[in-house]
Amino acid sequence: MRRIGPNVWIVIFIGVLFLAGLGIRLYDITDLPNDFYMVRQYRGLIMARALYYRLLPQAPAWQHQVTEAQWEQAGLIEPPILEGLVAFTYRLIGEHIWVGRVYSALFWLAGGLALWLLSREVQMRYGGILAVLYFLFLPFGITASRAFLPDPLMVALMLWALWALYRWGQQHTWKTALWAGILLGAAILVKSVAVFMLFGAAVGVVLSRGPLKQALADRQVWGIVGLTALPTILYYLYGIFIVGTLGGQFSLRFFPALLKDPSFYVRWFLLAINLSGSSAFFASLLGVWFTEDKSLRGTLLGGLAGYFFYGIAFAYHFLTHDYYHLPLLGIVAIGLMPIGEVVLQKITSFRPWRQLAVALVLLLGVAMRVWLSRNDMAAVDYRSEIPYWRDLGARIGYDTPFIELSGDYGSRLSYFGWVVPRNWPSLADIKIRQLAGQSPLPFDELFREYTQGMHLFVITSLPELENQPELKSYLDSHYPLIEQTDDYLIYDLRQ
Amino acid sequence: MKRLTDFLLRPRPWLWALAVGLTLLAGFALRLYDLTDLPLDFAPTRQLFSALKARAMYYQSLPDVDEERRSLAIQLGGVGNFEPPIMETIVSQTWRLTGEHLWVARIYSSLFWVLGGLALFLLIRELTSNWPALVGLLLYLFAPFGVVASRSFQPDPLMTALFVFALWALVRWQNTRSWKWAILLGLFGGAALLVKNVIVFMLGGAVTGVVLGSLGLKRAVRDGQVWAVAGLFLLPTLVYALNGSLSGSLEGYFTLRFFPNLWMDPAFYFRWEYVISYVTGFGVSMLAAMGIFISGPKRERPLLLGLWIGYLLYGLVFAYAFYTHYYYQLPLIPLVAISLSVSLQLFFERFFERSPGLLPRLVLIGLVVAGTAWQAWVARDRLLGEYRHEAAFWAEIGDRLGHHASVACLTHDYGYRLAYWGWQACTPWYTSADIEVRYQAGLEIDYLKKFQEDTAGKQYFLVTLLGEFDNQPVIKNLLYENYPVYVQTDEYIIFDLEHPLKQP
Repeated sequence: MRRIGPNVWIVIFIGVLFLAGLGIRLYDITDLPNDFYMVRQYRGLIMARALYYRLLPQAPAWQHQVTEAQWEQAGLIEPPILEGLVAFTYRLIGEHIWVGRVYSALFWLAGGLALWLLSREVQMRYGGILAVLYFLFLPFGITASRAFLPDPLMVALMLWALWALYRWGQQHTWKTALWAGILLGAAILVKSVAVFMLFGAAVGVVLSRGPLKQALADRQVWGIVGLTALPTILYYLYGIFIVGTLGGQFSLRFFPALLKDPSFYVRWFLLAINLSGSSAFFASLLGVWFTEDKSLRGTLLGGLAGYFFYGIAFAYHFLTHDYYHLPLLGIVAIGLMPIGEVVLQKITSFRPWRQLAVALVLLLGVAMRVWLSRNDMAAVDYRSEIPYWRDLGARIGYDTPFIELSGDYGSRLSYFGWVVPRNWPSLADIKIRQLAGQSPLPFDELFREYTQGMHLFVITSLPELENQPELKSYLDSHYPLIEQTDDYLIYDLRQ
Repeated sequence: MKRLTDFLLRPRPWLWALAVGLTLLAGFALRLYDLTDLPLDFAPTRQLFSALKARAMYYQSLPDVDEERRSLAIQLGGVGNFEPPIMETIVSQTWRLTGEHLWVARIYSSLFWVLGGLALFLLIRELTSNWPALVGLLLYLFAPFGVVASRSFQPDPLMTALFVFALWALVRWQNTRSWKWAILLGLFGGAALLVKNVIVFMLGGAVTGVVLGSLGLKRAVRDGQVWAVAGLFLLPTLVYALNGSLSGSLEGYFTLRFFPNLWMDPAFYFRWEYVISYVTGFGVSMLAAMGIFISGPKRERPLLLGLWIGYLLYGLVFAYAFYTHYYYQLPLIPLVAISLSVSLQLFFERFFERSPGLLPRLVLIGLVVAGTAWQAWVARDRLLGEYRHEAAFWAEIGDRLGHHASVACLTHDYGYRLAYWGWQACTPWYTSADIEVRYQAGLEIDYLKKFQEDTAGKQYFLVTLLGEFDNQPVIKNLLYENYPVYVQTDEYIIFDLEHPLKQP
């Protein structure tokens, strides 16, 4: 019988890891996406449904009316690539809330594949095992990578782009340059914030090949730059000048006041460590010094520098939106390759039983992580919420103009209740505006502006109402409370 | 520039001594943070158990104290005997000089732990080199769980420190085979076992591993040093156990400790892993486990294998306590630090080989400092609890009850808070956790009958665990339906058992 070589065992091991990575991401997939940044996930669901209904002319007119109004309200931020893909899938299998999450999970696994291929390119297959282990089984990564957000696809494309960039750095052919440009452009098109990490890494790779002057004279470099920038430039031109809604995405994003506050940097540092895992974070930073491969070193240093500038540009969101840190996981995973190579390569000199024992220890660790993530997922069940939002939507009526004070920007009521609420600002919204230097409007004026033309004021977050006593007393003293339960209040603004 | 770099990179032993000294000092200083807060931040039951015993010893020898107070302190300190009251004796003797301050115990525990760090550094350096030893020491001193647990008033920090000293002596003995190190090993190990005998698993495992690895069974049986070590290990504990058995003071020590049924439950192992990750971090513990396989077959592996097998046995024997009483995990910290050092050695060798310059070294130092600062910050966060107000709360309840009343209670820490600050004893009623542990042990108890027995002849029933009270509706209804409420606030209820509304 032919003996199975070590490469086959490694591939089998990696295959097991990918299967386990997919398995844990599909666990409890039919639950509602309330476990992780639900506002952003419901926004994706609403947009996907709107696109789906455009493909569904036989649907009732009122549903078309609602989905179109919701599409308008959601506005354009990134190109709705994932939403479009989900809508087409709905067309084939019907509308299911889990479809987007399955795609995100698959994209993330594809990102893991790019990591593995990169490790082969840099001659660090053993390090690649550690990188894939980390990337697929970090608890934060498991949760975030099955969310209906553009970020998992962005991170996956970012890793593919880094792989292509590295190959271009090594081979310097037009073919590899073309691939690098296409993948860099695709990643940035999916979510433009990828530009920070990718620009940093690209600069690192280019400079690792020679001085800046030489790079500027290199036509392939300009080819990559052109291919990278073109899709995003076209999209922004379309969004700003044709659709006209894209300009709004830049408001309330930049908070220079935070940059002067030292506690911002401490909080950022602590958050980055917590999300990426302390051991991995520090080991990865040292990984830069473990490789003699200048191109890989450039990728890592450039990627880290890009992550730093990304944090400077989105300071507020960096502290409040965990998923902004997802690209860091990709960079940390790459940084772990040189370290993993040192430790795991040592094991290749062991006898087979010791190699097997190490593999079992690693698999045991994976099983433990998977089990913990599974427990977190199993601990909650949000499905029971559906009838509540559906019934509330039915009571309000799809064509009733109303304003809502909620804890989720009205996303669940919109999605399950088939209504189009206008949102009253939460306390957090008011604070973020103040942080951005906007002066608050007098309450009367604010109320008039927001409630103009509205028939009802629906409150679905009672704690949020407690946070705004002025609103509460104003509503109580001016409008009749026509419905009250333990979960919501409805004021009639017409009387 | 090169000359400057060479000058800066020249090996300087005093620099390592300085680094270790500063690290130990920093570790000690961190443990003094919020020193005077009450010891309720970690394993409060165990800490107050020791506090009550120490106070009883202190009042026993305190001149010019009200006799009634003295006798009450001694009565309240009669909480039972598990381990020899070494920490309690040291603390109570110090109180004679400083007055009664609970934080004195924290200083001793911290000091013992930090001294153990010195032994750990020397031990890892013996196995590997300075850098892995320093990183191991940083883990030992700054792992957030370790910071909180190692300053608690209980024997475990001292036990762990003595255990580390014993391991150091063991490795020195392995490398020198001298009588000096055999005797030191026997003395340190014997002391560790005396302080708390649960260390027998890991210490026994380590010694067995090293002896079998370096001598083999046949030679070990004929080796005088091995017998001397065994004798020194066992003698103090045997004397204490014999004395305890004869006087009956160790009665009950072994009840509700052994839960073999948990071994068959996969959830037990997942919980165990969770605890390990909580104590040392997942990545670190995985790398430590890998250390067993990476280690040299003669030099480190016998020690590591013995230690890990001992740890596994320890966990299997104390299965329930292993995931409910986190302080059982304190010896895991030096174990992980030692196991990690093998991988770290490999890591540092490659690092200096590939990045020999000054800048990588500065980056390395910067990252090590940043990592330590982060750990210290997390530890500081965990030390931030504010419990000082509790003393007045329990004193108020003690005053309400009169200090000499006969009381049954559903209260915090088996009534130890009430006993310590309220100067009032009470017979604790079961919490849900107590019922669970008895269920796990396969005991069938008629809880209603037990409740009637426990409250028979009592004047009051005190409830401070209001959530727990709600979880036991039968007991709650029984009390409300049959006894008048003597005092009720938002935080506690006292039922008057002497004047029942009707016969239950």
